[in-house]
Amino acid sequence: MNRRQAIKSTALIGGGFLFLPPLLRGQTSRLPHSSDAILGATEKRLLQSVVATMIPATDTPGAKELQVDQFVLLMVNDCHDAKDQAAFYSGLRDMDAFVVQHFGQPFLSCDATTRVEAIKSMGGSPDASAEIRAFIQITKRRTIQGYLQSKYVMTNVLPHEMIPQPYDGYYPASKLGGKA
Amino acid sequence: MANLSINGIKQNTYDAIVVGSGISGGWAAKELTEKGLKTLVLERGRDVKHNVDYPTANKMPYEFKHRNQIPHETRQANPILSRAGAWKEDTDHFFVKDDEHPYIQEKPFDWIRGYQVGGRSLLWARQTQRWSQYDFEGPARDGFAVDWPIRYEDIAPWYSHVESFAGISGNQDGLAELPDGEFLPPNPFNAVEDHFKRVLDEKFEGRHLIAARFANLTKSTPTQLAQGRYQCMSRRLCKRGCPFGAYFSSNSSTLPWAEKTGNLTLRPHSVVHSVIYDDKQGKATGVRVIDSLTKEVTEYYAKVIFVNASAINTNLILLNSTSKRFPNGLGNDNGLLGKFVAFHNYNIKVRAQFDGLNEFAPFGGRPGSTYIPRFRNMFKQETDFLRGYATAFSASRNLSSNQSGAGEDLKESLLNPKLGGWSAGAQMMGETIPKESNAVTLDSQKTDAWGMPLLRINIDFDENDRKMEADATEQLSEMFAAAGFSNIKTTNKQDAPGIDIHEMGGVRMGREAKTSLLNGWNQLHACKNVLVTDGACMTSTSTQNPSLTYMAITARAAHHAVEEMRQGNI
Repeated sequence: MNRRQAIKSTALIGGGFLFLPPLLRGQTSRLPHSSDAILGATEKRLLQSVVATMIPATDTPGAKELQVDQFVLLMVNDCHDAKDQAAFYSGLRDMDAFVVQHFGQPFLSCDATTRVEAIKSMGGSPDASAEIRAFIQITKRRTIQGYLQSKYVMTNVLPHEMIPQPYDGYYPASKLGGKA
Repeated sequence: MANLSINGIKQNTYDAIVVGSGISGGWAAKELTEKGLKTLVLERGRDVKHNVDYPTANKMPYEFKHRNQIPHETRQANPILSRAGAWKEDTDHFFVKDDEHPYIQEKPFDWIRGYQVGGRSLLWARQTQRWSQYDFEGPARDGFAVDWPIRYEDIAPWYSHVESFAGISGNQDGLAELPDGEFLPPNPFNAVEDHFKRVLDEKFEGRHLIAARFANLTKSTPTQLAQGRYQCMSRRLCKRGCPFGAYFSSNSSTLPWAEKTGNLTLRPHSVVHSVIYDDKQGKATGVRVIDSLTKEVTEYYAKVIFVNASAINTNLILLNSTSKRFPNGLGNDNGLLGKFVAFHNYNIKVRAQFDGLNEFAPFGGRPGSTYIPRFRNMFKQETDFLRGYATAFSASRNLSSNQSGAGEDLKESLLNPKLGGWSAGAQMMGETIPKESNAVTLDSQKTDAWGMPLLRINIDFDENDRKMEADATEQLSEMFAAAGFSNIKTTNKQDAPGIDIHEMGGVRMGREAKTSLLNGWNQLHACKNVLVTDGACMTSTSTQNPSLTYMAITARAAHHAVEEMRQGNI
């Protein structure tokens, strides 16, 4: 079913107060629901490396091992607005130039410590463009979400309890928070 | 439909018809079938069988493609539904999408609907506070709407009746403004909630923090076990449908119970077009149904008809039920049908932090929170606005991580969340005054996919609501400050009406046929074998979440209707 047409007809039958979705008000069209059309192999590797740098493998898998880069793309494509999407993809394309300028070599050539520094710098530095900052912020938010809500973490690392313990409103605070 | 054979008519004839299978329709079905009436329940949506049709009930968070977030384009296509907080990937299948069932907003009104067997009883917030005598006396005392034809004493036994069956948790609080009932054990307080309660008791006369009464089984008594319903596990995933049947819904409780009597016929995919009124017999004889899938029209007949289609749709059906005798809608001799619609005002929220009682933290889950019954203008008029507001309150303390930085430090931080400080939140639940100008009407030309006239909704806040919002902001802030809460932040959500999902009225009860549509037994004054016991019947709104009152009103009306049938009066 053609959703746009359906929305239009819904809008037309109403004689009173109408909600028109932004896409009918001439806003930039959203991106197609596939990153293949947008991302080249290098950019895909770059994104993979960014999520791996944010949450690296240690004694447990990191974001890359859990395919969190795929989750980031899924969420950007499906759950963000056109403005976010445009910033994300521009930022991803532009980031390497920033890294070369400030760290002397492309992101993928940097060692692990420099990559962490580069990400911190891109996320907060006023030297980084708004698009690069947005790319880092969106990627980080979705990486953390995708990692913490991955099946692996929710079953092996921080097991998710579907049924919680009976309520105690006076539980000793000292027993909660962080590993002993 | 015009040339039904006698056999066809017989086949389509029942003792009673109930239009709608939501929280009140389910109760009508239960009471009528238990009394031996062959009852047809018509539901416009699809069937949803308890457990069988709860596809997400046991899903883990990572099993949702977008981790429970509705995709952007879907949200854009559903601007109305987007404002319902409960609409997520796990509940998507229980909500009506904007373009499926359009209506005309003369003023913004977020009409949130659940068209399926069980209706919104699958999705409700499950708070179940009784009304008090002060609520039923409100319109008469304060001079708005019309006098309720019933008082607390009329409905008290029916509150007990439905509470015992549904299973309601709560304390015996001994408050005249919020009567006690038949309660399962209450939900426990936490340290800061107890602190706040003490502060209110000491410093604010007439303001009490109590355990909100909830329709979750803190314990399953034999009454609920007989329904196959078990103790609540505090999963707080109620809106997916509960595998334990631990919260009350038509699907888990009243409908299967009615089915067990052998007297229930449930027909999903049945859009009720209108109630059929027979001018010669001077009563309603049945309903006209459009099959939502085939669009075929069928008539069903019964001696008594309960219209429980949900408040606004009940108005729609009655407005659409025209005849020579009732050219403006069934029972609408006074022209008031569709008018005096009202709702609840949830606009004011207050949040704060509390730096104290840090040795304690809440742990585990509970299916409830706390509640401050209305204290404004309770026993006499005290402010420059009418009526008042109840308040939902809860305190919590969460585990969270520092999410700055990147790399191993970030990972370490994410995997070792730290306990934050206490935070507290409150939200007003305000009574709104029914007004003639707050009304629903039928568009004279436009129709939906089933040929039903589109509803025009013209409902708004008024000055009384704005004054009440200002008072709630001030009073809640003052109570928070007195409790030593800090960083107090107040928000006016400035929502449109409707998003409270407590639409009420339009077919109000009253003492006189001149000024109301329904009598004290929920019969249309002018057509006594048609009863309305859903939100449409409400003369005023008070502050309490309304479902429990719909249940009690429905059970009471059903018993009376059966009695009237036995006496040959209807």
